[in-house]
Amino acid sequence: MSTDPPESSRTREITRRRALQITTGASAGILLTKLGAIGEAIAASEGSGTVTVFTSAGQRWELPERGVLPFFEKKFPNIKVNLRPIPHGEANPKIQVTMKAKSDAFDVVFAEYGQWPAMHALGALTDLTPYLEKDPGWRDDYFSDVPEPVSSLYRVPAEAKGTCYGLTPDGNAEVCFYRADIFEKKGMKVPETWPEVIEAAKELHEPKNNQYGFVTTMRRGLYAGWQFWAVHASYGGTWFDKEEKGGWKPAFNNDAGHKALEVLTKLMQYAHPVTVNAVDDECNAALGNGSAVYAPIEWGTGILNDKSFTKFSDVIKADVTPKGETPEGVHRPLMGGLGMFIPSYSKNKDAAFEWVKWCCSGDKTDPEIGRSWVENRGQPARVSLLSKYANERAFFAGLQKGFPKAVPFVSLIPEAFVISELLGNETTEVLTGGKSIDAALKAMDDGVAKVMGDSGYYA
Amino acid sequence: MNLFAVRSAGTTDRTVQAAARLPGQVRAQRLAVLLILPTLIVLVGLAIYPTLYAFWMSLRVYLLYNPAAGRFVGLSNFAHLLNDEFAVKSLWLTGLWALLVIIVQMCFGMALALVMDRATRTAGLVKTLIIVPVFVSPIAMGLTWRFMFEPVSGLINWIVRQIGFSGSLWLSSPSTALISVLIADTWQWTPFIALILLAGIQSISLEVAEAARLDRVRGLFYIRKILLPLIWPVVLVVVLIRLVDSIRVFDLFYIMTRGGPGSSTLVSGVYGFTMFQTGRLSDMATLGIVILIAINLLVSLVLHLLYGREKKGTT
Repeated sequence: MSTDPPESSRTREITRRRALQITTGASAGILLTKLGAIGEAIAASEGSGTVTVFTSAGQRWELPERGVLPFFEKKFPNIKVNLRPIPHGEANPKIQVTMKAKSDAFDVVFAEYGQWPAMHALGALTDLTPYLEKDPGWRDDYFSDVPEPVSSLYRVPAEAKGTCYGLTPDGNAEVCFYRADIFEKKGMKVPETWPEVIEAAKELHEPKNNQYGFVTTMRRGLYAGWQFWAVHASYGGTWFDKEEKGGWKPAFNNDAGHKALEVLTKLMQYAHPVTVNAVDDECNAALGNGSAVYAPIEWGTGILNDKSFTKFSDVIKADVTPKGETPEGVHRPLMGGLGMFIPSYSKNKDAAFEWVKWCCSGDKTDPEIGRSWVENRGQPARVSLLSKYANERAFFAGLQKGFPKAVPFVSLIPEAFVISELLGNETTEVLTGGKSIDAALKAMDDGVAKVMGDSGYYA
Repeated sequence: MNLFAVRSAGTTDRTVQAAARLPGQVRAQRLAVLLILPTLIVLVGLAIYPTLYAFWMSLRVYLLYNPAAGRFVGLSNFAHLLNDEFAVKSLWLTGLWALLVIIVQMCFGMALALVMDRATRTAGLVKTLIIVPVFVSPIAMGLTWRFMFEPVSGLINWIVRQIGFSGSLWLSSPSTALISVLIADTWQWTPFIALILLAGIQSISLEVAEAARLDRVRGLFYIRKILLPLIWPVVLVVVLIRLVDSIRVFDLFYIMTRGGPGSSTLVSGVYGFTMFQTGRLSDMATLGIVILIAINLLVSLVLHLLYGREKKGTT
């Protein structure tokens, strides 16, 4: 007779044992995972791990970051930085979608300050104040060196007392690029007002000699919208009647708006053919190859002072953008620039902040950082760097001159880009003869009112 | 017999039939369902669900930059779309583009196919070479053509000037931009059309061609009265493919003009993308639904022409 228990009973007993084993194993696993997570958290608080950076590709964003990366890795061997370059034109929607999805894929995002309000509305920004408090010396140096109108753009609200949600290693403003040799040859001074600009463009325009008197970034949409806004602002224009409850009525269909479109329409007679489809690349190429000699409103770039890009690098100079000739007229270059924020969904914020701080250090942490940033086509926001490298980058002087007078390239509201797009679409309709100035200005006001209405500003 | 009785009888029949099924048949049916399931899941996940979600979005205000403003607005997005002059223009331009693509590329494609049909000695090599543009990435091709069309330093104006003409503004003028993009698109897609038409032409029986030759039916008369009727189904399939492609066009315009100058090349694909770029997701979805309906109507029309003719031929 067998002493073995019946099959069913044995199965039950083994099952219980196995259940116990599984429970013990799982508990140990969970404990180890927790310990691992605690370990990771400790490591992260000491600044280690991988920092994934969303950055615009090439130009003055990715290239200087790559330039300062080797020094960073030497100083912080436990932090690995992965740069993820995205074409600049695609960056805004990708950031929007990624942050709306609450993705933790990125630890640092290098984005236009115009996105800060939308990011804030999504709850995607990390308050950097506690991190800055850890190194007051560095903090004070940064805020004393970066002009307050620039550093405030990365606060919410965008004023000195706003909460700091970002730091910037990158400053930009629209400047007036001109060929100093040709101006000198013709005995011309750099024009101050828009009527003078039109006269100068006419004087410089010699298409038979492959020389055009005017070029700018007038591609449909955002770019044309910013150029319209640049001229509109220089005639004292604003986006809205007032930016507070009871206001937010669009203010484009007025004298300043009319003047702006009139100036741009007149300038188009002397425009380089690429102008109507141009963004920075086309515009810089036209100035670089010598076929365009005057760009009174153009986004700042170091490439035009780069010998490897253009043989005219020594004679392309920069000055502040023109102003309206009316009593309200004032120099109002649009201020560009990108800053770095740490998404609130990042799991490695301490290490991420080390990278942000490194990029924004200028000479403070190590003079090699500032030098490398400039040499790799960076455009610093720090005045100390703009002054130090003014001889090597002639347009830095124009930037420095422009910063105190500059206005944000978009109004600091989440709707900024959709409104810029709308302004640009109407502007290019006028410039290509598809619409009258009056019809375009009316469409601007109607369109912006709809955007603001949809967002609940009039409720 | 009343309705209840009919239903009952039907149910009983089906039950009897099901009971009579062999276990092997049931297993085969289950296997068939299992095999179809992955495709079905992919189809639902990547086509049906997004379409339904897009329709849902088109009934709401959905702003990527301001999610708090989201709300249900019914069909008012469609009403706004009809009042949006750029949206209406983009739909109109897309229609014009599709028409130009079909006419120009079918004519060139047919001419090329006829030439290749005659050139028996070099046909193999020619077929291999002319298909190359089809494989070129639209982005690379668009960039290349954009630089070639550059009015001041571009290759095309240089050639034009070398042969004694003044250059054109090409992509920089609202009056020539659409034609310039059409040239690039025609360069890429005409060989594809030509090869399919050539296959159709070469499927015509030698007896028919010989009979036509003996009857001295030649030239345009031969094409119109004999060739086209015989390859008509092939022609319609090519038209269908290019029609759908040209309505959905995006990449080439995005790279070459981004809808400009002004709105002269603003096809609906590009306009929809600019809506996405600025976060107007509900407007983008509304435009997408309108395009979807338009494509379906046109495809139905072409299919009706195709099968209607076939049916007529068989009766």
